[in-house]
Amino acid sequence: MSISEKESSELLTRAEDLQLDQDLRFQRREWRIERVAWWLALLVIVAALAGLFSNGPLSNTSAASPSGDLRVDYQHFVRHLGQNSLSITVQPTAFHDGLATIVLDSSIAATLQITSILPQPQSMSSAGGSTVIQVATVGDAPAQVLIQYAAAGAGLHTGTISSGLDRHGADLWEFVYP
Amino acid sequence: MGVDAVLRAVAVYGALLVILRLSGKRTLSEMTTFNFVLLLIISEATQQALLGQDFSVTMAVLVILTLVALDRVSDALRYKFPRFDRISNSEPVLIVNHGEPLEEVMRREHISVEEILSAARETQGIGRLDQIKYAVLETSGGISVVPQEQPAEAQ
Repeated sequence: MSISEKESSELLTRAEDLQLDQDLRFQRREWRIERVAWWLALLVIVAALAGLFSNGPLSNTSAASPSGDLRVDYQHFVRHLGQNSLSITVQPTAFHDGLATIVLDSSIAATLQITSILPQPQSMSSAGGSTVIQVATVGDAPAQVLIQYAAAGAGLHTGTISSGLDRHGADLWEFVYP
Repeated sequence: MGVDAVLRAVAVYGALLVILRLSGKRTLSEMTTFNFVLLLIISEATQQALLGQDFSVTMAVLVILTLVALDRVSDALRYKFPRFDRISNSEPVLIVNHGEPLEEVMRREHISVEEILSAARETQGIGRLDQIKYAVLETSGGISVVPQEQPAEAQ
């Protein structure tokens, strides 16, 4: 390689009647940077496949409340205003009067622009910034609620989803790409 | 919303500049049918990021205005600062000198002798490597050919 570099350098200096503003040192640096950039691009693509930018093993996760009565399956990495969903499972131990209660604390409620909740909640109410969702249940089967939402606001968000205003909930964190 | 339009345009302009610059001179330089379609797909993907959910005329005008202004500004910067020109646009590089292909350059830029001969045929109507005095890979990604002053007799 060094031989061909030397050869080509010599050949380049002999191009005397061609007015070409060329700097081989710059050119070689450029090739090196390009080479690094190609590897970086490959790395970004692999990271995307792994879920660093949503939807993949790195991103899919779940969180549970300390008592185990509520579990949230969600994504760590989402994109600004992209369509996302999180699935909340409430165990019968947390049911009251045939209703499962889900409380999104104020910081989570502010970042989720909810587009739909399945099944249709019996009621949705607000308690000091927190959003309280109540869903009808059938017998002793765990209640599963799917919330579809668009994440609002780039950056790191943390918050808690619990099965009641007075209960410890599942802590989650979510990074929203711009 | 106005700030949003300008910021989106700046971000997309910057990202495209960096990606296309780092991918090398030859990227999208030849307009084969496939490259043409690829270009269309890239612009389609860009459009979403530029406009978001806002399809108003105001948004479109703001984005176009910002992109054109950025292009004028970078042209002016290139004129004023040759270093910036070289960094953002690269520089032409010799690939054939007196009929002799420069192996290092060709290897780095992924140019085959075939491609040089093809450029020689298309632009100069000459058919052999030894009839080429200089071939230069331009910053646009195209290959320009300077023929030998006295073309060698056909064998």
